[in-house]
Amino acid sequence: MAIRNDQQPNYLASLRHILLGAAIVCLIALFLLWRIDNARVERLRAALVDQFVPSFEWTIEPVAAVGRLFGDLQSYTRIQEQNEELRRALQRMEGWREAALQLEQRNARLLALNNVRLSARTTFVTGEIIADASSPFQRSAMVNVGRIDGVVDGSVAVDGLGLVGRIAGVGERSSRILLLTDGSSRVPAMVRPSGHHAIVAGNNTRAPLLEFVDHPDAIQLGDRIVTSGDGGLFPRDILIGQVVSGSDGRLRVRLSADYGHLDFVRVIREVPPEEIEGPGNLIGPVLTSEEALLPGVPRTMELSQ
Amino acid sequence: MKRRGDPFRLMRQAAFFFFCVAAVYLPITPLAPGADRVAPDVLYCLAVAWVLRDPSSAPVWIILATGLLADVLMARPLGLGALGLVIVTEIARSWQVSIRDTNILVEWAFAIVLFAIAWVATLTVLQLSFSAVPSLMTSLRLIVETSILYVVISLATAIGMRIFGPRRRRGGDAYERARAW
Repeated sequence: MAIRNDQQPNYLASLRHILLGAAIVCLIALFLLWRIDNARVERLRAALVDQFVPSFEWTIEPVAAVGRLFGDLQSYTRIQEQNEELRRALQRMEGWREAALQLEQRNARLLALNNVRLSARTTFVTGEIIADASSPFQRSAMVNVGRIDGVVDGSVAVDGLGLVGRIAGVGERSSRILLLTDGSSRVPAMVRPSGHHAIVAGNNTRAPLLEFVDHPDAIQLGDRIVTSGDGGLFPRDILIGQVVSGSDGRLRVRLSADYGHLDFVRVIREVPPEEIEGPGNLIGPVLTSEEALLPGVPRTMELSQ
Repeated sequence: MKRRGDPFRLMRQAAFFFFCVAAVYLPITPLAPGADRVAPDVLYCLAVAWVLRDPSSAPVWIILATGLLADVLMARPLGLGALGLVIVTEIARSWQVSIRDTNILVEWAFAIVLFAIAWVATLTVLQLSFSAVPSLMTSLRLIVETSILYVVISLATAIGMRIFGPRRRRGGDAYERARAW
């Protein structure tokens, strides 16, 4: 068989194929690691995001500002309508403000009368949304407060009106909020005024589903939905939204948080309640029958008498 | 005879890297966080359109690095998005000679069919590994939006390459199938 001497084997191409194969194997291994040890890899992801996103904030901010400017320009076309809407809303709010002031005064009087000491276990820190980290796989947003601000995994995020989501992934200076609209979001809720329990289940749309309702017949459209506090994941009585009926006839939630314009969010820092350990020496150790008969050892009967 | 190197290749490579990083950061810009939208895959459109026109300045390591960056920042399954992007661009690289002389419709159909196959493969892997998968509607919206965006990015890349891209040698292979690093 004739072999041409001027043809040289392409070592570079072979080496490239080997390195490409190695890279593909590494990527498969990384995916498997993510699947198997998800918590640890997610912590690594949070640390990487903490490095990349805040350092590029100076580039993201101007782009976002220009984008919002275009959005505002579009809204100028219906400025007259908006003006009228705002006047009507302001009128309604004036009434509510008066009612709120009266209630506040009444509440203060009642608290003073009863000498109630309220527990101040919750504080909050306000952060700005620095990145929209949504993808087909997850609905989330990055906020510029992190571990150094006291944010922990599971902290609750709200905007001015209602619940936005909870923290899932904390870095030093940033954290990820898993939005209520995410497909994996489940929030124990209570429907007011009926008091029935339900679960607000995200489904990657703007109107999450209301599932596992105690008595669906007792639910009225327009009822308010608040967090029930069940399971201890969310504090009680944070407004989620209102009951609406979807086009498919299923009960859904119109979220109170302004999901179209999430610029700032409050992350609630909840200090865990103090744990009381043991009975505080009021109850002694359990004695055996022999020990109990010894002289000088107080008997339970005697103690109770 | 020794070939003369392309003096602008390095510049095009730097431009490709810059645009890829921008393609990762653009979808995470907080224009309307929480809004009900599915962002098209900008990085995919850019990488495939570039590889089909000038594979020598679109090395696989840039595609790999930016694919991983996108996985990290956009909360995608870690490694899977980058893997799909690398495989798809390698397929595009091997078909580049056949695709480059056709019209944009054929290129568009090629890119979208490739994207749809890669997406279905990704969902299959996720399903097999018992991970949560996006709904059918989300997938359809993603494919449609990416296919629309591909036309825009492909045209922009074509115009850019016409000005700054490699020149065709007379009777030779201007779009040399460089096995870029």
